[in-house]
Amino acid sequence: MSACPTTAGRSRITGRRRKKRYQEHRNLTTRRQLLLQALCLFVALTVLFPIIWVVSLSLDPRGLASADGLNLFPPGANFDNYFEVIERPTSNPVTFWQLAFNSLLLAVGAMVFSVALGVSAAYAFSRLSFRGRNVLMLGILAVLMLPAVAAIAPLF
Amino acid sequence: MSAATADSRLGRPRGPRLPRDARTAYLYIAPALLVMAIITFYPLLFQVYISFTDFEFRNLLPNNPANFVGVENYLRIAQDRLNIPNFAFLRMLAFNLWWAASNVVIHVIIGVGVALLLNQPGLRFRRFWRALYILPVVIPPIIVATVWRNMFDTRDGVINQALIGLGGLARIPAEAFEIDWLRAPQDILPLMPLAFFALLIANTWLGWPLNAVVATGALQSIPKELYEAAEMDGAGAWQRFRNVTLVFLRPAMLPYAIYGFVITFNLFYLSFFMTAGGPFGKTELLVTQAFRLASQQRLYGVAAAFAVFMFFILLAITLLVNRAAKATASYDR
Repeated sequence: MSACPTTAGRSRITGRRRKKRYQEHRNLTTRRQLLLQALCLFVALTVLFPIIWVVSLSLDPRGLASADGLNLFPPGANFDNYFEVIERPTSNPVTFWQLAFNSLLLAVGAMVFSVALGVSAAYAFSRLSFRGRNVLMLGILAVLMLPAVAAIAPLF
Repeated sequence: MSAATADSRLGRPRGPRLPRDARTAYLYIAPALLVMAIITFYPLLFQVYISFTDFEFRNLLPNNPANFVGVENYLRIAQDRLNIPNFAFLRMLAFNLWWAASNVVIHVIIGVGVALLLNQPGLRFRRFWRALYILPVVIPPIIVATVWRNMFDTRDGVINQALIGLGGLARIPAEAFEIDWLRAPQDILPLMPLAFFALLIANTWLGWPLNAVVATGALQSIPKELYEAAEMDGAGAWQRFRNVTLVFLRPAMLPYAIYGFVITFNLFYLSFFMTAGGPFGKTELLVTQAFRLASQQRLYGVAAAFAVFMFFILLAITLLVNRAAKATASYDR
């Protein structure tokens, strides 16, 4: 309890200091600033390239199995692929919205169920004491370390 | 100790534990435990059981129990006596360990490097760059794998196209860059075919941003005074980095690196969807092999034994990791 105000006070001081430090060093030389920005831009390009590339493929109207070269702006780019995906993404007669709704239903269902179980178990583990508390806790945590694939054989 | 605090928090007088308390606790845990018993513990026990049998596809039919074969499945795996092409357990294990270790080292180095870059005082657009760099993390894994497989395509892939473009500047003919990234059979270095490097590049793209986030957090917690003191003591830029920055980065980065090691060790989708374990099973990981054994070869007994092997390998890694993490958890060592 009594620790709270002290920590708050300390963080206020460091906050002020940080601001001061920031102002002190604000003026990097222009050359250095440009150099660092160029580096940042290079990193950003490597990060963004696959993403941009997928977007450009998605705009391509020719239905290629794989790309044909380095065109980031495919000839005759349009949004037809997007309309197709929204109307009928697979060979089954379902729309994109139905698929999205299924995902949502699954996610919400799993969430409600697991939160309900988790909250009640967590309450017992954190607020109540009982025999076998540590053993049970370990048993539950140990299972977390297994990859999902490790239990694949019996689940077939 | 914890019993006393729990009781006092509930406003009950201290003293011997009330049995009613324990009963309530069990009641609260029961639903979770019941669900776990059905979906986790029962399959695990069943898995250990069928790992000692010759459980196969035909045994899935009712009234067709599998035969008990003892440790035969384990021996077949360890001695590579399975009827599966390119199965070599020890090579796979070595490759898997090397895959995880090499990835994590590269992720941490690039992550720390970018964090240092973004932590330069006075750098403009810092927030913008930070937001951009985190993008790979939010893309669904299977899409990442598919995109990178296409990028490494021999004829049409962006990587080869870019190399041809660069090579054109140096007058190198385009035919020199028809590189078959994902299928070239020969090893460049021991255990490492070209496909390994393709996977490494894809996973590096995917992995370093989170490392940069963790490193940034650690960097921002370093008190400025330490640098000033070091400077006053006559420490150069390298010495300041070595004796201040690295010392403060370590307790944050090491546990995260260990976590990254375990995650990468079990990284299913890049190996499975990009190279499908190829060429000749050289980039197969333990997880993908376990999946193949169960879903494609349908050797359930062998797959179960394989999973038990995996469990012990992971257990060993986890124990080692816990020791390492504890030994370096604080600044004072």
